[in-house]
Amino acid sequence: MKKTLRFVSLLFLSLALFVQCSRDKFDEDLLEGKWYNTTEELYFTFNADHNGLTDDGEGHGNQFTWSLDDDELSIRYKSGSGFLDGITEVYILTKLTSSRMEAYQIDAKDIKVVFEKK
Amino acid sequence: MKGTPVTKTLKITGISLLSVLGVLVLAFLILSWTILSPSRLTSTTRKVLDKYAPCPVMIDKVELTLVRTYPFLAFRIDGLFIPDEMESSPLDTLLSIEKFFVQADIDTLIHSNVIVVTSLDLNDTQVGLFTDESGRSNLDFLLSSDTVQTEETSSAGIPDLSVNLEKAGISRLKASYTDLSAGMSASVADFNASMKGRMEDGGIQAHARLYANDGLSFAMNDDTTDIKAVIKALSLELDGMMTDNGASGFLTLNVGDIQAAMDSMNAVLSSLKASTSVECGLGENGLTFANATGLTISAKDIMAAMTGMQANLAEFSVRADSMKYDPVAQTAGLSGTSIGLGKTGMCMTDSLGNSTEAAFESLLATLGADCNLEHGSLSEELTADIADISFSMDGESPIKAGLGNLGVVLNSNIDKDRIDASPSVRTDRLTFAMGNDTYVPGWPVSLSADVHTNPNLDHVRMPLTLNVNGQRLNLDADVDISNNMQDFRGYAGISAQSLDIERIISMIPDNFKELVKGISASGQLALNAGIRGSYINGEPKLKSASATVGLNRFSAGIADSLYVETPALTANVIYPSAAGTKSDGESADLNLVFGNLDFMYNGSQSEMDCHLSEVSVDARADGPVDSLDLMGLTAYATVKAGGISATVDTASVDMQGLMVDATISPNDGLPAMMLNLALSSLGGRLDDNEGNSVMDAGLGRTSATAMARYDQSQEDLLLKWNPRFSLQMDDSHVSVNDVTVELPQLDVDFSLGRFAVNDSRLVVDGSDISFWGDIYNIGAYVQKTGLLTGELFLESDHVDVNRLMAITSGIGVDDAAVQEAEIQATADSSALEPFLVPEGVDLTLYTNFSSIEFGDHEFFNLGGDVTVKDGTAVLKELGFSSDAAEMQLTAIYTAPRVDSMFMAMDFHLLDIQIDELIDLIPTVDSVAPMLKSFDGVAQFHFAIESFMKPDYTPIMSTMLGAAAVEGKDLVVMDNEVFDGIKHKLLMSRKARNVIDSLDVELQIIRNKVTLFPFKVSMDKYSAVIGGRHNLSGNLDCSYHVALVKTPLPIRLGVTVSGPLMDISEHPLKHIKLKRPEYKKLYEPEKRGNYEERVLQLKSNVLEMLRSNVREY
Repeated sequence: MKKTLRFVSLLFLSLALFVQCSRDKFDEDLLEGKWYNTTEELYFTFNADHNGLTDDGEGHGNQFTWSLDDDELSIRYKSGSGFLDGITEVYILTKLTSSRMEAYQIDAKDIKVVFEKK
Repeated sequence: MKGTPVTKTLKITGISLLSVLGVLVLAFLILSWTILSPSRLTSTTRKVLDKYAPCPVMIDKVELTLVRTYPFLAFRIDGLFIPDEMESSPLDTLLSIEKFFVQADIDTLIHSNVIVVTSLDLNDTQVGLFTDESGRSNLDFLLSSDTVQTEETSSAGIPDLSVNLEKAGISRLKASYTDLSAGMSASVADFNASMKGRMEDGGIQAHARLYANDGLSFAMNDDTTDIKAVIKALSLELDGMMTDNGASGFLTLNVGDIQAAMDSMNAVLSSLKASTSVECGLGENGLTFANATGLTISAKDIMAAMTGMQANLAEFSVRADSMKYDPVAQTAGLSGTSIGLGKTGMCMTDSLGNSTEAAFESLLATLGADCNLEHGSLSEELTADIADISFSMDGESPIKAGLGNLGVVLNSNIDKDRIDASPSVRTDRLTFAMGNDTYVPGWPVSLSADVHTNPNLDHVRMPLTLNVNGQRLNLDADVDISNNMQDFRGYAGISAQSLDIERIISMIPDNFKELVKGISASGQLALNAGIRGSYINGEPKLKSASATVGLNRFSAGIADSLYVETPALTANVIYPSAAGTKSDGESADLNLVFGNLDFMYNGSQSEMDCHLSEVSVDARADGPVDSLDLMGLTAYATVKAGGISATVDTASVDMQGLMVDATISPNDGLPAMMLNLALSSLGGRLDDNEGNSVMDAGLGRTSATAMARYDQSQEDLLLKWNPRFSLQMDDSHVSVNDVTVELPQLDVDFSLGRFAVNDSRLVVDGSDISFWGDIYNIGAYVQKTGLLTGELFLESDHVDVNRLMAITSGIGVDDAAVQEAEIQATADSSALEPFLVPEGVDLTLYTNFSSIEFGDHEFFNLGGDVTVKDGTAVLKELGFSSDAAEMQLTAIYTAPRVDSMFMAMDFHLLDIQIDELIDLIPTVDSVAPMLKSFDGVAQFHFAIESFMKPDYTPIMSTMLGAAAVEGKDLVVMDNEVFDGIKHKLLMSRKARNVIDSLDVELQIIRNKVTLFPFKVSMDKYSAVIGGRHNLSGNLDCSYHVALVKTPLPIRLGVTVSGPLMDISEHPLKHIKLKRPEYKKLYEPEKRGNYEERVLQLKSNVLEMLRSNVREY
């Protein structure tokens, strides 16, 4: 009995650990293209060469480089002055399809951010 | 005048008459020897007449006496009558003699061959001569044969006789002459004559007196002429002698009541008297001389009238001492001649009944003349004095004019080559009025001239002096005239030495006084002007001209509000320039000099007082006349003023030592202009109504030079003018209220190649700034062919920014206007035009300020570079130190176009007190409001960048920013409060209100501010604070405070979220208790991927900001 309990506990512990340590993986190919952030009302264009730019619909935005590590989308903005080289925005993706992407910012877990493919 | 035919006729007639008388006397004496008795003589005579006379002749009695009357032979005819048998004649009598008597001395004739006629009388004689329309006369049967005989008798020779006519007389002769063919008639009603004379030795001496008591009449009336003349009484006395060598005599004429009429003209004269002595010489060739002396002519009550005109002359007299004529020498002379007229008047009346009258009271003229007919020369002297001349003319505007007493003097010399005349006219009182307006009230006027010309009138020189009411004007003309007086060439000038301006103004007629109402002026005006030119074929051409106007002790005022005064002023214009002229152009000089000039204006709302001293203006222009071609123009002007001062209400200006030089002339094929200005000092002051100074400004020694070359092929204004200037000013200042801005030194040079600021200095109320530098290639930059480059330097030992901001804030604008401008700017931000950083520019401004006061802070060693290049302005590493911190600032502003405006700032404050940080940069409080809870030393880093709208509002979708605050040993809440609560918080006794370290990083992406979690530890407590808020909208925020370490067995988390304003008003509504987040953040062994990532992002921000610090 004790042994079984120990085994089951170890099993659940392993399962918990496994659940706890594993992250979703998303295909970055699906990310390529132009997306519309409905929360911020902003366009994001992700190019295949990992460059991209934002656009507020009036031709204003920032250039950036992006990377997708499992579910973590890092957007590193290019500083026009050079003073802010390295300023980064991190989204944690929860869903990525060819037409829709859902995520939350790493510093605002309670706010859902939706991207629609354009 | 050759008198040979006249004198010969007189001589022949006299000799003939006396010869005939002598023959008749002889004949009658012979007859008396044969027929002594009157009856027989009468009968015989009748028979002879009946037989031999060509017409019926009736005689009452013929008597011849000798013996009874010896030694006198007397012959007498009584009742001689010859009827007029011409049928067409209205007359009955051709000749009727009541008595003819002649008596001669026979004894003298026999012994001495001298005929002495003691008496010759013709009494009561009537003669009637008539010619009809066909020209037939009632004398046709008598005149022709007698005339031939008379001439033959005279030409056959005069008997060598002496005749002495002691007494001859004609009494009561009545004669009439009518010639219908010629329309003439004449008559005399009672003609009487008495004569005596002597003819001997070839000479004749005679005395005769003729008179008609009952008038003479003459009339002529044909198709073209209607003349009538009637003389009521006439007497003529002659006393003369004639020899072969000449004649002399004295003549006296008296005529009373002459009436004459011709067509519509008629004249009346009540009395005419004349007398003169005449002498003439006769030679082989005729008249050798003729003289008249003592000529007097006088007439009274003369009236002449014609349709619409009448003239009256009360008295007329002429007197000539001597009139001479020498036909041999061809000279004539007149001396001692005077003409006098009494009251004279003339009146003309037009068809409308308007009359024109002219009159004078008296006229006295003297005339002397000498003439040489051979040389064609004449010299004369004429003087005339006319008293009380008046003229009037009726009409819509009746004219009245008068000359009180007019004096005329005319001296002239005329010969075949020249005419010189010197007329002079003066009057003591000239009046002229038209309508109800008096134009000339009674001024003394004189005019004198000196005319020189020639008989051809092809050259005239005429200096003339005019004096009107004491104002003297000189005119001069020297003119060549040709082409039938249509072409003129020469000189004309006008000058006046000293015209009294006040008097001239008083001479303005009353009806024009309105034009100068309220205007007063006094002083002396001198004028000298002249022109030289020609007027040929209707084209005027000016060769030269000059004018000089001088004012002496001049003052003028208008309506007691405007006043000008100068002791002396001279203006001079010369054409062409004295310096010469271009061959195809014209030039002129202008010169104006005055010592002092005062100008005052006193208006209802303002007053002005201006004083100028030692002013001179010299100007010259030389260029083409036909066009405004700058290329051909050379001109210069120099203005000098010793001093100019002016006061306008409460403002005053004073300028000393001014000199301005301006020149325009061609240079390298382009018109070039240059201006030099030099000034010793310029000061201005503005006071308030209480006399306190509001503004005070001054320029010290100043010199400026400006040059330009005008190239019209260029489009840009700078390139078109290619300006160059240099300016040096010393000791200049402006003081407004308590603020003084000084320019102790300013030295700039500008050209399109280089703009240099040489060692200049500005002092503003305690702030002392030196500046210098160079900017190059301005012209190439404008042409877009080159880069505008340069370096400027600003240095200062001390700048008080607070004072500068206080000075410059709202200067010249009141508070209400400032507020309105701000409101307007906010409401209509689109109207603002952004500053675009120009491209093609590479400029750097180096700054070095030793000390700057700003707010309550003082900053030291502030310096940095501002670079403008390629459309970007960069404030590079502006650093300073203060008691509160050390600062480094770099800012970038890029604005090549309105739609591409970008601004970035990187700011660091090192070792700064947090409270001073917030005080220094209030924006920090809105970005990181929690900082104001702390006190202590920290490091502050801040960087932000964004594209901007034209109104400089950031485009939020492009904003990136980051800030970091590092602090150690930061005090939170004051000691007293902490001591009060630390026990309640179960803190140890040694607990202090100090946070060991503070490490705050935040990140701005677009309108989101992310405050990365930071830990705050105090004694037994630790809390982690983090969150985010929006910079737009309602400023929504969400902050979480997690109490991660407490002495209590609880872990608390508090989230404050919602709109910021709402949170401050209803805090409890937005505070929620939650599970504490960030627990694992500061427990490395418990950190997961999320925590690692967050800390990585947090560290990233700090490293990113630190890397921008210059020396860290």
